[in-house]
Amino acid sequence: MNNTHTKKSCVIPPRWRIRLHSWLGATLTLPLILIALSGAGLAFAKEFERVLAPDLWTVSAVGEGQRMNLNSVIDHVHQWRPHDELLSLNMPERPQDTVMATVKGPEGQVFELFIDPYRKILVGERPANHDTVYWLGSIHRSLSSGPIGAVLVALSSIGVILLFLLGQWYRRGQRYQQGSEPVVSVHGRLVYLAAWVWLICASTGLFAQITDQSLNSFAPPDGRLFASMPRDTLSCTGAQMDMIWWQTDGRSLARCMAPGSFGPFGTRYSNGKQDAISLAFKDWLAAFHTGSVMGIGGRAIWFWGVILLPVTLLSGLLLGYKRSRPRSVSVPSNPK
Amino acid sequence: MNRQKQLHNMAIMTMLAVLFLIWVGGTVRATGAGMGCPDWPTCFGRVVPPFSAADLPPDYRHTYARLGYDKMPFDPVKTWTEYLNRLTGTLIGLLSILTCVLAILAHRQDKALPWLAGGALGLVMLNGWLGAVVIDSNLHSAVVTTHMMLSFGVLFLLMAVVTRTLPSSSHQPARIRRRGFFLVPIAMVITVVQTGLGAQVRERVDQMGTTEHLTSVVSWLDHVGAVLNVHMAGALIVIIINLWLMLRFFGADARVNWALAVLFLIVIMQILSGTILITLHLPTLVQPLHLLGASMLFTTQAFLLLAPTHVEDQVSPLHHGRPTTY
Repeated sequence: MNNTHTKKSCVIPPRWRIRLHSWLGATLTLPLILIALSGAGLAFAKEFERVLAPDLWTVSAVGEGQRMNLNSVIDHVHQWRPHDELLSLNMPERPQDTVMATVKGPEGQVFELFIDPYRKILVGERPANHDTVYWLGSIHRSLSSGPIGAVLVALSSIGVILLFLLGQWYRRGQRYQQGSEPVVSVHGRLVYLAAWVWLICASTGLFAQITDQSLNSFAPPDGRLFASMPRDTLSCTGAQMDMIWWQTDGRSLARCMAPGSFGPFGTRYSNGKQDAISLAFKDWLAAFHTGSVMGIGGRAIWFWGVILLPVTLLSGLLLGYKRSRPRSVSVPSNPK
Repeated sequence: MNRQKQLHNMAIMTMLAVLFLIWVGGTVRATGAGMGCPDWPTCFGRVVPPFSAADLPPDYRHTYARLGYDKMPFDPVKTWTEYLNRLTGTLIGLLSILTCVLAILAHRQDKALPWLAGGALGLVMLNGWLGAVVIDSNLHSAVVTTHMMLSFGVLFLLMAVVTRTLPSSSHQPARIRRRGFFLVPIAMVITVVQTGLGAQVRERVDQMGTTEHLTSVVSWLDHVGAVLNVHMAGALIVIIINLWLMLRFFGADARVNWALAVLFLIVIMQILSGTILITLHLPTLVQPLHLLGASMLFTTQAFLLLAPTHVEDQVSPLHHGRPTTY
């Protein structure tokens, strides 16, 4: 009994643990909400794109014959936009997808062209900075404010990890103080459910920021992988072509996906000289950052886990507000 | 009947309806009836879908050309299968509204109930809208899979309502939380990932049917790719983790034992249906059953995660109808 008493009085959690946790949470609420929501949007950006612009992305494949091959697509793009430079091609992943070509006009403006691969027609076009992936990405990576925003994103990633550690430290102190498991709030339950997703996203995102790597799956990998080869030698043996990038000096690189593969597994690069170049480190980092390492189920879990972050932050703020309010003391009735 | 009991029953009914909808949705996908109605919420511009080609609008081939109707023949069976899916969705919308209303009326007993039931209603509405997107994206497989997986969120929130409205006499003993309780959320994550992989196998089969024109259904097995092998290996992990849960939790409480018995039956059903799908080359009737099994597995695991606990011999009247850990 005496021991317990000593333990309780000695290990009372210092108030500054919870104060630090609360103030850090309050400071980071807005940037974290922005990062979490834009990141969750980016994880399903391809699907959102199809929701927002179905006419550009979807065609009917019923009863159609062969799709256009790579050379035919390139020829048609040059025919439609003779003065533009072809930057990349996003090949159809599924039968009902269009081909998306990214071209740069003579005045430097970048456009996206959507091509029906069965009927060989241009379905539509738009400036590249009008697409969802672009603006969600610009919010997510830099909060649209350049280097200052990038630092803020890095600090927010560190902040998530610190928030979790401080929260756990406070809980441990509470456990010692009460001598039993503390009462679990909704805030605590949400942390229990989704903290591991936030920690994976924050640490991989932070690592990408520090090492200056882009986790955008549409961005080309390291320029050293590109090679100068005739375009008809660019192929993916036994696999489906996913993306092809061209550099200004004419060198190119293709990303290939084995049929029935998921996430980064079964994906490789090909540059005409080498048919199977293994994925770059940034691709694996991106797979862990987005949850695609576990297929669409993983992406769905990551999505909901990240969506829970703003809810958890707000529930934490509410909890802090409730605890800081002076409690009304009930007057016991006079026993007769 | 008190308000909490009514809410409890209504939430169970809504949950069963969602499971039925998952089965109907699986049937729609397995039979290729997804584009049976090429618009939303109407079907060929009508509230009640057409029974024959004579009832179709005259310019329907032109209107729905982007969605494949320039070449696809009209099939009333597919149209009505898709329509049944929509009717069930509407029924779930109504049941969710009723659950939400009852939860608001029962908020004095537990303030979390309206939030949980409201969240479930929000997800049902979001999923209704996603149903329209499925049509608009011409059954884009990732959108179809997302549409299906959102139902898991609805089931989770409804299960939270069901468990929070259990009478305190039905609470599990708190000692269950010391029996490797952390495994339950891990098992749920594995179930979701495994369901996603299963959906990707299904996507791949759809894709092969459209582009690769396989000469016989038998050859699909050789062409699916790595995702099928990973899905089959994942099944082994699902079996092991659920057996582990059964071993750890068995004997904790009569209600837990019931849940574990259900879990066991579902795992057996999944093994059987999975084996049938592989050996008999994806029979149409078994595909939705396999998906239903996965949803039921997730729901049972959610029950184990969310079921309220009480410290033995200390059931306080203050905690009536509410889990003591909240």
